[in-house]
Amino acid sequence: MKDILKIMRFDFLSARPYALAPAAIILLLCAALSLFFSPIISAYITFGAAIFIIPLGGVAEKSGFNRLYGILPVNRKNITRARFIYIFFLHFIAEIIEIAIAFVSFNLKLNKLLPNQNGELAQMVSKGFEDGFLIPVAIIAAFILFCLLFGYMEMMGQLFGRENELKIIIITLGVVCGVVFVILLLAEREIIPTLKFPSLPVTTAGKVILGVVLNIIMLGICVLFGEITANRLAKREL
Amino acid sequence: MKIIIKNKSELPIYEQIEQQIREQILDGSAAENEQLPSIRQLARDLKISVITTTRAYNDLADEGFIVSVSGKGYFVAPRNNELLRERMLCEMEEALDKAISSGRNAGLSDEEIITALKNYLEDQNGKYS
Amino acid sequence: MENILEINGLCKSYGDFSLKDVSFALPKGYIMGFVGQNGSGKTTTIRAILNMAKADSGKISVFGLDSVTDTIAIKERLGVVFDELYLANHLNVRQIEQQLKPFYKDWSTEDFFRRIKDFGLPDDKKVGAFSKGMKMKLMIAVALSHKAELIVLDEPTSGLDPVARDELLDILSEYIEDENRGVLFSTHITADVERIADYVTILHNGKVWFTGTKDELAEGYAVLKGAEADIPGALKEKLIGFHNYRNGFEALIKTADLVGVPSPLEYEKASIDEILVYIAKEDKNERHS
Repeated sequence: MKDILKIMRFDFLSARPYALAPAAIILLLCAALSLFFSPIISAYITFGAAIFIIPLGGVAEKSGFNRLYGILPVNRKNITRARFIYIFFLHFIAEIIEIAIAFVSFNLKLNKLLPNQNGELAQMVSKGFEDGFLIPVAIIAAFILFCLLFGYMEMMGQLFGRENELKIIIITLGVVCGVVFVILLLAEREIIPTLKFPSLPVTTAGKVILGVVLNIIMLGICVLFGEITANRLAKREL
Repeated sequence: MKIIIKNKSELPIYEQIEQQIREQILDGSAAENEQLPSIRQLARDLKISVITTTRAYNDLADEGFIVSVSGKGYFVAPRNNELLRERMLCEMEEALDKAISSGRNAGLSDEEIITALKNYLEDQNGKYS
Repeated sequence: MENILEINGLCKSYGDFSLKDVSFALPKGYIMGFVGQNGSGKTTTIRAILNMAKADSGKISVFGLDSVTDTIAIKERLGVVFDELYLANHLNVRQIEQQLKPFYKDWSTEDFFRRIKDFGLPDDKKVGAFSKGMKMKLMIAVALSHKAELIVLDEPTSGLDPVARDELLDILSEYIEDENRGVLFSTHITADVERIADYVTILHNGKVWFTGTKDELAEGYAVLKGAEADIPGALKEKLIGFHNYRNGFEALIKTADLVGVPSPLEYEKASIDEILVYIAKEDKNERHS
């Protein structure tokens, strides 16, 4: 566990010079837009987390980290595992910030300060502050989507090489589209019964529990990705 | 102690060190009981291998020029040291041998050689008295 | 004498290259030059020491610990200098220090910055923009700051100017003044090894051609020159890398085989460089015959 924390800190410090300023701009911009125009905009802060992950592949390649990993007194598997926990953790932090900002925004209703309250635009904006249900759904959806995407890309990139990233994206998209198409086709011809979305819990406590469970599942998925990658990479030489 | 290493010399480095320390002890510029730099210090200062300096010191200790005091390092051996005396006598004999054969080659008689030696001794004594 | 590094029967093959039964040992307190042509297997051996490459067979121990099972404990006390920098190119020295510090129990920030100052390295410039010599010194500063007891250098001097090479020798001579430490120094520039190394291991085509003290090597081989006609029949077998010129021949020979060499033949001591050249020539001769 200590190894993993050390490597996560190492990765964070590697990405910081590139990521800090853009992530701060995204955070401030989204927070301001969220406060004045629509709480749901805070979900875009997830992009800030992504910015702390994107530079890592290039940095490792350019700086010959393969050799550094061979020198550092840490377990090689933990180096791989740490990256996936790092991906989860960054998105998790973004999610918490988003919820906090959305909560403040939803309750302060600063849209009232905007000029021309009776205008068409102001009317549209105020709708965003009326229904509190969609906001956490959007935030958690963004969290799950990004976490899955980055976890998956990290695993594929490490296993098949970053230079093949574009190929991996194209193949993955193709497979996903194909599967969705087949399912839709089958559903339309009523070969399989149309999927019914399970109804969401009604109580607030139920919603919170669902959110927490989804987070735990994402952590589990990231750990699983990490475990698969670490085991495959351990057989390779640095 | 001054030691100069010549990389382009035909003599191996350890012999260069031995020669220079020997000379300094014989001509008195290294005083009796003076401490020598440690093996590892000398290797560091001259940027040479530790084994080379170890070998030079071991040879000098075998010849009686320096003594090793365990835990303290190497020191210039005392003058009255038997080995050192023997070595000096040996050197004198070699030099005399050479002087005699050169004298004979020049056609001097034994008496003339002895006279020359006496003159030299007087000259030397005159210089120092 | 306690060995700080010991390699026994290391074998490893990659496609058409292989290390065959590589064995040597470095006693505590000494510097070993690890020489051989490019491609002779030096880097693979070093990668095996670091457990970056997996040996097919054989055993490596560092500080008496096993290089595979105790690799983490070993790396805590090991410093490594590669021919290229392995630290984050886009960070400055201060940020690098922050990054590495938590990995080593014995890390000393004070030592690190004192060394950086001694070495004349700027602490606010991206290390990727450093010169080759500066990068090499940075890697040494990292090694020294976690009190490494063994430093392994893989071709640190290739591409370095003479001033930086001399500085490296200075640093290593200072480092080895502490007799509990060791240095394994791989290079194909043998002049670096000729002076400060205590031990030399010559690797050739994945095999150990020689391992022992530098004096044994220097006294063990000579270059023989003369006219081919003067070589006694029995001696010809013993010549290494025999090469005929218009005016005579040159070959490497073991000094033990010099007894009974007829006087028209002349010999002189062989440098490590010459030894490497003759080993390579011997290869060529074998291929031709």
